[in-house]
Amino acid sequence: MSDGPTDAEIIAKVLGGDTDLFGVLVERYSDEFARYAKYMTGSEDDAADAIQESLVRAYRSLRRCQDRMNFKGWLFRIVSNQCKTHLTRRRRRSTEPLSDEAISVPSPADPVGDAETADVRRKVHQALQQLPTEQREVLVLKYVEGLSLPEMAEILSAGVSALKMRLLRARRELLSKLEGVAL
Amino acid sequence: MKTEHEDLSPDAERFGRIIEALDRRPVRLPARMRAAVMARIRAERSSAWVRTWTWLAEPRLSPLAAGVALAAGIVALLLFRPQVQTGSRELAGAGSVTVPVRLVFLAPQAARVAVTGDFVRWDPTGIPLVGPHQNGVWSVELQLSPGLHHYIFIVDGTEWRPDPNAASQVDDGFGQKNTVLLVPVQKVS
Repeated sequence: MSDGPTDAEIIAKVLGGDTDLFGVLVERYSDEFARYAKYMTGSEDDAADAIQESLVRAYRSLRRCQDRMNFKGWLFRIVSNQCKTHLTRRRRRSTEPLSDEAISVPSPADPVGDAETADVRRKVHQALQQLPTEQREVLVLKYVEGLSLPEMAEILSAGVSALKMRLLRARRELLSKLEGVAL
Repeated sequence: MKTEHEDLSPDAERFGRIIEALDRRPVRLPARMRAAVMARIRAERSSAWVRTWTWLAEPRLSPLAAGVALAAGIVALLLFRPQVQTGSRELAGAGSVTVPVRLVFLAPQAARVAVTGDFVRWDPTGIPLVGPHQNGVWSVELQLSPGLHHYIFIVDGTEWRPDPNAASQVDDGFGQKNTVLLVPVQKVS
């Protein structure tokens, strides 16, 4: 936690009528979940939409945040649900698979990667986007966000054993999707 | 984490290369997204007061009933605490009726101008304005529900600018201003 008022202190003041203070929480967490949302939705624009909607919903439901010391975890669950809602709506609108443009890929100007590396990254990201949402989620939380299994269990409201199995299946599925691809 | 790779052997090494290919760079969302969140929140808060005021002020009851309603309103106001607000931005009683509102914006150098606001859930694309006309003015006619609306113009897709002709602006909390527009209930003759 950085300097300044804690989340719990801010929440108390927002609920007391100082609505503008919610901006501190917006500033604090918008980017915190942006990478996760981008992986889950497949694009930065969709991630921004999902985060925006999540923050507004969090504000509306702020009274229901029981554990104010863990606002971050509570907000994450809203973001996670919003990303899934976003994907469901998109599937309803179109049965077309995600295009290359919609898939998050590193910039071609990536200074650390050459064309070959960029191509591998593109294929990995494409394969990741083709996984079921729950499998993609555990892989992103574990290997992109660097969360431990107990941390994942807490924010996903799932048991550690169940998550281990989900992670194992996700890894096998990802390997299967990338079979034949030179890495 | 390393022990978890062991059960995937002999694929562990290949899986490790896959993980290395994941992009872990931070994602910085545009400031306008954060501004949009605060604008929506402020609009909801403001509209709650407008709804209350309109309900009290609307002359639709007999004097006796109005007196009872006013007393109830005072009680409601005494009980009302300015906390988290929810609900529509529309005025009470407005239903699905909309009011035509024409917005104009002077931008002779712009290639495109759009307007976004609570009425399109702060969609960053917005609603395009038509123009520029001969005098450099862009315009659009919207159908808005009666009530308080916040909006802002988007010039060339990137520059967010409040309406300089508007009577009221509010701080968006991020160093910029949003325009405030009160759409009145249209009287039916």
